[in-house]
Amino acid sequence: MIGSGEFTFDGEAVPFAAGEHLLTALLRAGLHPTGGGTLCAEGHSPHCVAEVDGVAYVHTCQTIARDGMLVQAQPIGDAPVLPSVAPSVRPVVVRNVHHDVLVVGGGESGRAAAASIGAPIVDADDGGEVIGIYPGPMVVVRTDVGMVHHHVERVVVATGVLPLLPVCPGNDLMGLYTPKLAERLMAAGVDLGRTVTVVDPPQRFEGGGRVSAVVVGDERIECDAVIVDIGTTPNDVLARMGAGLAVDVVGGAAVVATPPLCPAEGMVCPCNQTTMAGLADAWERGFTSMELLKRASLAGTGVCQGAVCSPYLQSFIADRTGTLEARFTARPVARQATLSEIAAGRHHPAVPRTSLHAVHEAAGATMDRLGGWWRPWIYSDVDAEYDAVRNAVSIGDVGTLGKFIVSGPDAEAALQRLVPTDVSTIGPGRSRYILMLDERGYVLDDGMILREGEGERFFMTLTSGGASFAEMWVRDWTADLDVRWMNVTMAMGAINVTGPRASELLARLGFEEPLPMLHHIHADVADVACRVVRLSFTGEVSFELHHPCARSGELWQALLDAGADLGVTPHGLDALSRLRLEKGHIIVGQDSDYDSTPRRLRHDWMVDLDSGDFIGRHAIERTNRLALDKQLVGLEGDGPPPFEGAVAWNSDGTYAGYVTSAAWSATLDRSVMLAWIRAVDGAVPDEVLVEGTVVRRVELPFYDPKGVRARG
Amino acid sequence: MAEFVVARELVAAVRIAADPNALDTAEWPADATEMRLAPDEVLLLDMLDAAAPEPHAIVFPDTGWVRFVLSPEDGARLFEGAATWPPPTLGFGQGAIAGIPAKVVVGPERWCIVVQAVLADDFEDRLGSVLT
Repeated sequence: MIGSGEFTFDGEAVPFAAGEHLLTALLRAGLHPTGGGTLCAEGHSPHCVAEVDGVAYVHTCQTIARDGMLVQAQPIGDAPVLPSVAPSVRPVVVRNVHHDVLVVGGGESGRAAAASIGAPIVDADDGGEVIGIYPGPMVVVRTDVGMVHHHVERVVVATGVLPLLPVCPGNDLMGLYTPKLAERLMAAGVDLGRTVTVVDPPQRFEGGGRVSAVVVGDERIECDAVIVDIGTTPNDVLARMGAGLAVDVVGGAAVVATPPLCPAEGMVCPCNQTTMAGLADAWERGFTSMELLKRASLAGTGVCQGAVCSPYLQSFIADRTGTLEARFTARPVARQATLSEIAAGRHHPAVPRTSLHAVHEAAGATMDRLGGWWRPWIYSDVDAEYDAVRNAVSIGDVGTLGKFIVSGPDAEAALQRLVPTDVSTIGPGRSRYILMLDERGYVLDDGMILREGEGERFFMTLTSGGASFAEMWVRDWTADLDVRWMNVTMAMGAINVTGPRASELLARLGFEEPLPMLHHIHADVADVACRVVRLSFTGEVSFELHHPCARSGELWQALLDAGADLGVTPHGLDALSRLRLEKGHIIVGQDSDYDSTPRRLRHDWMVDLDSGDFIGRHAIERTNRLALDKQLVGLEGDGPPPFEGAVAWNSDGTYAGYVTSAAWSATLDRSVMLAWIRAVDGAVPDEVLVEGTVVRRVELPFYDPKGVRARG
Repeated sequence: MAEFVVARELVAAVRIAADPNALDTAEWPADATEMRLAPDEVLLLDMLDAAAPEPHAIVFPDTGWVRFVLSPEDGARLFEGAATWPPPTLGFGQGAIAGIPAKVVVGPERWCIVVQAVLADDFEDRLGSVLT
């Protein structure tokens, strides 16, 4: 009479007593989780794993039975069946704790180590199952209430020893137990039948499904169960995982044990069904070291992570070489863990929101993640947004731009090193469009450099997605110079006021000073202190208003209010991408590739080889001697725009390249696109086929080639 | 605003990038909360301006920070659930909390956590998921 509860195993009701492990109840009922193999009660043998309540690879010898549990057999060597319906997963909580030292293992050596240094102990028998040791060191432990991440200065691994499991023919039969499990089963009243204890490695087990006899030496003993007590082996998975970290190993786990005799036959890695013959085959094929043998045979890569096979791999190699090789490298995880457990405490990178985020949402904008920020893609009518820029005035949120202040006696020299232009010729109050190259001469980023007054102080803008990388890059490359950098990307808002009536709108808000193209000035707009920068990305008269981000909302609203009768309309990224494409302006990362030199991008006019020893200079000089192999070109067609990424084909059917940007130009009444096109004998073809339609190569920009409108 | 947050506020601050030696010897008003972000950068909370500690220093009135004020109990719970680094016993520390770059000043009666305004909404959401 058991009388505590029932769980189901493959649909069959299995009674259990209070506090009993699943495995004990299963064996009492004459069932076996995996159909056979030596069971150990230590949570290391792969023979007791099952799917429990939808979680695969659960060690039933470590899991206390609960009423209503759904347990399913998970045949050894097979992957669990993927659920047809995604299980309901609750986030697993994590607790971060910090110690000087943590002892893993609550046995004799662990307790002694803990007592001597006053360190806490984590031990599986007390509900703390170590999943792995990570650099830090950090010890990740699974408990009944979630994960615990122990951040420590030093780890003491005192995990003791494991029972050696037998490798011989018949070692996959039912009825094979380690002494500890046999003791547990007998204490629980499980009838094992006729038992025999073997202390020497058996020749074989015999039986059909269940063991009926064991052969040791010349002796054959009939039985219903075999208690296998053939020795121990260091439980050193965590010790090996901690190699190179601040990890000490004590007790049985630290012992360099003599491996068992090399078996002639049998399943050596039950997890992957690797036999001794399989090891021999791998050896014959030349995989003659521990790490190679593991990879070739897969022994040691399964559920038990080598708990069964690693001593036998040692003896297998020693038998052939006479050398005792160290066991193979161990990496987290040491125990099976769910994705929720692995992900516990992890957070995806937060996407920043500009100081106008709430304003955009209130205006009904569709927000999207672009360039590493939440940005308005479209407000309500992209054609109206486009039209406002081309024919009236519009405002756009460009607060996402990378923004840096540069100061110091070597500020000019620092910038000179970073960009391929003569920074000394940028006068006070002037600005210049710049590229930033890497050592290979490939374009990393683009932006603007603005010189402040007469002093050595500059302001630099870069692309929205490039600021964090750029900060590392510029600091790294100028560490030897007397220069100060400040990344103010997150601290400053920026609004682009653009369109033929942009100057008129700003005048209504107090900014009436004529500001030529590529000039900038500090001035108040609507009583907000701004750095006003005259440039153009849209092809129309444009002013960027850089300002303290806390005042973005009021500046935005003032522009809307003052320009209502001018038709001021905010524009999103969808409209902006069309506008800039008509001007042939590239977006680094979209139109550039990993190997885009300025020449390939048709931006070689931005490289001044007389400007000093900038990053990428030598690569540019070398690659300039090579024939041009591809180029970013402008294409136009009469049909609808292709999708971005569409392949371009030559007229003879050969591959020509691909489209990076494409849009329908309402102003030009045709499709316009940028595309990488292969050059043949240094020349790019005049026509290619894209989506079955002939498109023509044209000079850039498509719109207002003389720049009359941008200059106003 | 979630119940556990004692206060969330935009904070007046001045950020200064300067020669490290100049920052080492600079003296700030007694009511400013100093956060030494890096050898060459300091953030001073509750100030609108500051004297440049050396001629080439960048002194930047920085309105891009939000301060969360927590009780010591909630602060400790937040670190336990969402930070892989230990909080300072008292004073300034910085690192990721719930995956978001944060500065913290631990005081005997309150913990001030300062994050960039562009990430403040995310931080508050994550703070809520840890503390509730």
